[in-house]
Amino acid sequence: MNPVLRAQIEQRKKLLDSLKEELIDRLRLDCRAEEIDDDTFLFGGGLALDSIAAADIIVGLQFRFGVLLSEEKILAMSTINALADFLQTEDAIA
Amino acid sequence: MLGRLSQIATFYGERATVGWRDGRAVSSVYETVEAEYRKIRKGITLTDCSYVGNFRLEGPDAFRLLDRISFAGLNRLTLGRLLPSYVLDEDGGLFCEVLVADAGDGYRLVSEGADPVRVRALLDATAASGGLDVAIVDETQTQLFIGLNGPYSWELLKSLIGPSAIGLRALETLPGNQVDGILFAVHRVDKAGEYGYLLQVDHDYLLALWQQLLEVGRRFEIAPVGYEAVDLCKLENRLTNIHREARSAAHVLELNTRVLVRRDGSDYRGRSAIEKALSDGIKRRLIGMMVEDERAAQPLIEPGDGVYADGVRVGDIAHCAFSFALRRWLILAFLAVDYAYVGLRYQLGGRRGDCGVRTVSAPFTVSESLRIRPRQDSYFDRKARARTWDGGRMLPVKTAISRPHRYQNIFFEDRRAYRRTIA
Repeated sequence: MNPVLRAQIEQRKKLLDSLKEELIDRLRLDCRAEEIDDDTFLFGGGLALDSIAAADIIVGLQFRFGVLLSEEKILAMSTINALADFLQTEDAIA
Repeated sequence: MLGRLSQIATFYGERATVGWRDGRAVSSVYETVEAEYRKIRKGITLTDCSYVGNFRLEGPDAFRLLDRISFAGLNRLTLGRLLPSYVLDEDGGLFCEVLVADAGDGYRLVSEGADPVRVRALLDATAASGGLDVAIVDETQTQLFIGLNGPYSWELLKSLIGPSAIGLRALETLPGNQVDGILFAVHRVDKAGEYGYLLQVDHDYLLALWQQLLEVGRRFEIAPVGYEAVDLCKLENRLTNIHREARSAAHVLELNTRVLVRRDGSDYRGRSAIEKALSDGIKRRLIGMMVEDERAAQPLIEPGDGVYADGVRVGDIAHCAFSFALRRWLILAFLAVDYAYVGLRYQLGGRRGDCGVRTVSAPFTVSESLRIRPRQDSYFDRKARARTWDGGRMLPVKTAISRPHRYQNIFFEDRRAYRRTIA
């Protein structure tokens, strides 16, 4: 694997791990970060979270990454990866 | 073939293209995939789902039988709700997907992705090997399903069965509904990523209900759609398609299903393969990709083509289709786990070696239904609302920035460029 690609992957991994840890801590999920796939759906299927959890995620993202997200937007960002995309575009502090 | 042709496909005859699903011939396209796709995303549509398996399980060991074949734990199964799961092969591959329902006096198993005859044989064999006291009633030929999909499908249902249609939450079941003397059950199952329902009706009344829905739905400009358009919506929303990418999965965990793994310690079909994969790790993972060149409207991409990083093959395409909304080719590929991350550029092999792709997050698009509030909105005021929102069309830069979720899979650099333009 070329070094540039490796660096991109490491950066993404770091962000994903940090995001998953925040979700596990805040929502008291009964699993470890490595047990959640990056494309796991947050609502409906996958983690099967509800709108109360969505509000908790908003607080968590603000607290840990310094970004503000509306409930409408978080429901549209339906996977861990989509949330990570948002954090990357917002240049969040991981 | 005649006996395997669905009633609805027979009714349409040469007015629709027919394809095979689970050993049954049903309509794949009525008009064009693009027209049908747009109907699903904007209006109300009907789909012939009479190919799915439908079983009723009764007796003291009915739950134990389901528990032995289900990949997902059934501890969350409650009366009046469906629980989605998979049935695995012993090697951890996918046998079929199922919806399990607790009907009070028994259980219902709705299967898709395997010929119902094979599902019945598996149920019989599992019950016999475990010495289970269960009666398996095959209702595949007697209780059939119609799919009702689209962001306003709830409105048609409301006009038929009243406001309870709006209150029906995802995976809930509402039995005992009646239209013109036709009895049917409603299951809220979003098969196309928009508001979606499966209507369960007796074989003798399937066509009558289909026609009744078309009649009542005329004012909503309802249209029948084939499974090709539904499959495209599934792809855009990254709902696992048991007939497409899931068929290429060597192991269920390649489909991003780790959160479904049971921790209750009970034995189930494929468990040893799951435990082995959890301890050894899986080799590939499914990830979405987009063709970078927007002008590449007709790239020769096929399932089985290779994905390359610096000339090294790192994965295989499992499913691909052109998205009419995003105007790009969407691809699902199994990539080596070390390479299966979002935001990376790779190249496609096959006949289009020069085709660049980029890995993107699930889902590819956001459902129109997320923007609709059934208690306030209506199909008949959608145009007025489209003027105040955007109706799914590309927007001027400033408007697009105010709704970043609509463009979550437009590549990062593009979005940063938008932001710089604003600044």
